[in-house]
Parts: sequence; structure tokens; C-alpha cells
Amino acid sequence: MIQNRPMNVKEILNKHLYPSVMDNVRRKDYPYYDTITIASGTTDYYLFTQDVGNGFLRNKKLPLTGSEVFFIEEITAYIKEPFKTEALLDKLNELLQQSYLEVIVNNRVQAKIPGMDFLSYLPTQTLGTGGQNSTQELFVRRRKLPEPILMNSNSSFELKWTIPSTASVTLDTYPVIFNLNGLQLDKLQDFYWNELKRNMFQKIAVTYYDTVTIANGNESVYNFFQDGTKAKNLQSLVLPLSDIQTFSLQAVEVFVNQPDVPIEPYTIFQSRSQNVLRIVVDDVVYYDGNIVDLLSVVAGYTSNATTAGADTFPVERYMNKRQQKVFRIPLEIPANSKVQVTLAQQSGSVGITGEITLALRGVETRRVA
Amino acid sequence: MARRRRRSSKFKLSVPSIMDVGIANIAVRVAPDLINRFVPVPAGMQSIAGAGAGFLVGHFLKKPLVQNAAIATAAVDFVVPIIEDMLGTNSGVPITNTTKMMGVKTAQNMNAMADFQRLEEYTNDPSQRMGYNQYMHFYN
Repeated sequence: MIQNRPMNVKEILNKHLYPSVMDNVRRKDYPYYDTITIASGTTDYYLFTQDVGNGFLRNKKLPLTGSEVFFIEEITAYIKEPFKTEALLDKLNELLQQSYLEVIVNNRVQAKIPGMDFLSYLPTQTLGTGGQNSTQELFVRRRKLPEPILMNSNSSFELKWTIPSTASVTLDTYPVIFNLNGLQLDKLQDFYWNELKRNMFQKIAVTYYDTVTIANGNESVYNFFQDGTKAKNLQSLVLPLSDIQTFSLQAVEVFVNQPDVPIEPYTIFQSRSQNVLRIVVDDVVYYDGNIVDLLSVVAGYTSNATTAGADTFPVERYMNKRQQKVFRIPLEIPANSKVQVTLAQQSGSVGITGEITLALRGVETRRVA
Repeated sequence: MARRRRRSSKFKLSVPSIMDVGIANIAVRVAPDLINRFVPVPAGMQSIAGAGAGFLVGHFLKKPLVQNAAIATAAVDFVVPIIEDMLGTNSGVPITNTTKMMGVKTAQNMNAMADFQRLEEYTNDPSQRMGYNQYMHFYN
């Protein structure tokens, strides 16, 4: 019977998007926003924990009251300062590849996404010795969740952004505005709402990410999601999945940053586009192709590269190419299956030094503990 | 004095009755989905919508048994979760025949196998799969 089949959060959200006769809730398309300021040496930032006070900085302090329910459908954050130099673009890369946002509701992790999923930023290119000409291009990135996150009334809630310590030093005093966009329900009558009771399984939107260090430009193969000793900001999990998880892979992105000694950004893209990504599940090759369609590069360059302190000069050229491949047929990774995800680079690759981050985006189904 | 005929207690297969009850069940289960495509049906109203649809079907077919069976089916669907909650027997996901084909297992590994079987069945169920048209716009 339809009413007895457990519903996932997306079905519940769709049901409440449209008013009906006997509804006892008020529905609002509503953003929660909060502003934090990066401080030198501080790596963890807890959001929506301060009193509202200044309405230009934040509009909500969590947890929700007993009369509110909120569905998080989209997460985005905007860094309010431009990135003008090679040194700043290097730190931007650290935020994109080595920072992550963790959402915990009722003591269970509901989302853990890398910075490259949701950070919006402003790379700036300056031409001329007097900086007469410049190009500013705001890049907006929002992490839309195929499965929304449900915050019920009185749910305990923790939203934490963790960044590398080196980035916090260089980007000291940079403000960052976080937005959670979604649907808010205000209860018009007092009732206890628990439409997820008796559910055995839960679906969540996930990004499995892994950042590997580029060792050199020789022909080699990078293995992802194999090293269990990495820090949490460099890797989200180790494959294979446990026996209570399955993963439906819907989109993939390979992100390459600028090398420690910057070079022309387009040479990085040209070289990396020939790398080959392979995904093998239980000895079946599910994906084997170059990464032209899913390669992202954020890099800057100034022609005075050899001059001392060149990384503090305004960049004359930058590349901000972001793309991901969305699979028409999702790649299903079962529980306990043997999974190999590799990226092969050809000999003579550039840029050497730096990091490669692989992001696998999709929906995970897990047992409700 | 006419003799009163005693009602027989013997089982007698009645195909028309079976068909009538079947029609009522189909109407009760399918109607809420169809109605939901045009008008949202709240979760608490689906039993009533199904009963109403079955009643109307029986009325138009001129079959009182269909009408009665529709009401009984809807009432059962409404009451069963309550009884299952009281007895603690509701697993949330139906157990398919594949779990029974595993043979005799201990209680511990029966639970582990059953969970694995159900997880794969859950994710492979067409109603739980998300199609490309549904998720593509989340990544643009």
C-alpha cells in the first residue's frame, strides 16, 4: 500500500512543495546565510552557531525551533576577496582541493563535500605595469543535492568547514558567506512529525574525493581511494564500500591545480587532457577514457615568473576552467565490491608538482543505524 | 411450514466472487497513484481515496461485492501498520522469496544476509533508481 512504503527525503520534499487542503504547515522558499572570517591559524569554522545580531552577516542560529522543519537543497559559499596573484591562486587551490564541509544532523554525517563543490570565487587578471586593465570573472558554484538533507524540529546540527592551516595564514581576514538554500516548513499546529520512521535505508547526496600528490612528469598511474592513512581533508573514504552502503555514481570531475613553480596555464590543460581515467568494478571496466570532458584547471601566471617575489605580482594570465562529466547511465557500485579507480599520466606530463583531486558525485544508499 | 435452508459451511470456489474482490483490491491500490497525478493526495487520505475509488468502480459495474471488498481492503491497509507496530513485526521493506531460498541459517548470519539482500533489492528497485533526466540538472 502506497502510504506504508517508506519514503526517502526527496519524496517527502516533493510532497510538501505543493499545498493541499488538509495541510497544517506554511511553506517558504528560504535561504539560511552566515558569514565567517578566516583567521590565521584557525582551521575549523562552525557555522550558524552565533546569535543573529547583525542581519547583514547572518539570519539564523541553529538548531531549529520546535515549530520549524528545513530541507537543505543547495549549498554555496562565496569568498569575498579577489584572487589576484599566483600566491593567492595557490591558496585558492588549497581551499578547493584540501578543504571540506561536513554536515552532521542528529549525530550522523549527512554530507561531506570538498571545497571545489560549493566555493564561489573571483579570479582577477591584471594587464599593464600600472594595472590599467583587468579582467574579473566571478565564478559561481553551487552544490545542488539530488537528495536533500532534512533538518527536523529540534534536531541537533553541526556544520563545519575545515581548511588547511597554510591557507588560513595567507587568507587571514577574508570573509566567506555561506548560503543554505531550501524549503522551510513552519508548523501551524503543534504536532510531532516523523515521516521517516520505520525506514531501513537512507539516501544521501555524496562526493567521494581523493587528492593525490603529483610525484613527477614520468609515465605513471595514480590509484585513488586506496590509502587509508590520509587526512580527512585529502580523502573522504577508502574503497571498497562497507556491506551497508551502495553508491550510484552520477558525475565525475578531475581537478588539477597550478604547480609550485607556475607555468602557462594552458600547457597544464593540454598535457593533462591526455591522462586516462579508468573505473573497474568487480573486474568489469565501466569507464576508460581521457579526461578532456571532465578536467578542471585553476591556475595563474605572470611573465616575471623568475623575479623574486613574482608570486605576489598580479597575474597576467589565468585559467579557470571547471567542468564535470554527468553520466547518462549512473555507474552503480555495490556493497563490498572490488573497485579500482586509476588515472594514468603519460611521460613528459606537466605541470609537475602540485595535486590532482578526483571527485565522484552521486547518491549513496546506506542502512539507517 | 417451510423448512429453513441451512447455509452450507463447505468451501465452494466462486470465480465471480474472486474476480470481484480482485477488482476491488486493484482499484484500492492503484487509484491513489492515479489521482495523485492530478491532485496531491496526503498520506493519511490515500486509504480513503482508494476506498472511494473502489466503491465507485463497484457502483458503475453494479457489483455490491466490489464495493464491500473495497471498503474492507482500505480498512485493512489502514489498520495493519498499527497492528505491526504493536507486535513489532514491521521491517519497513518487504522480504522477497530470495531470502527464503538461502536454506537454514543461524539467526546472526540470517540477519546479515537478509540485510545485504534487502539493500541490493532496495537500490535495484526501479522506483528507487534516479534517471538521468532527474539528476542531470543537479550538476549543471
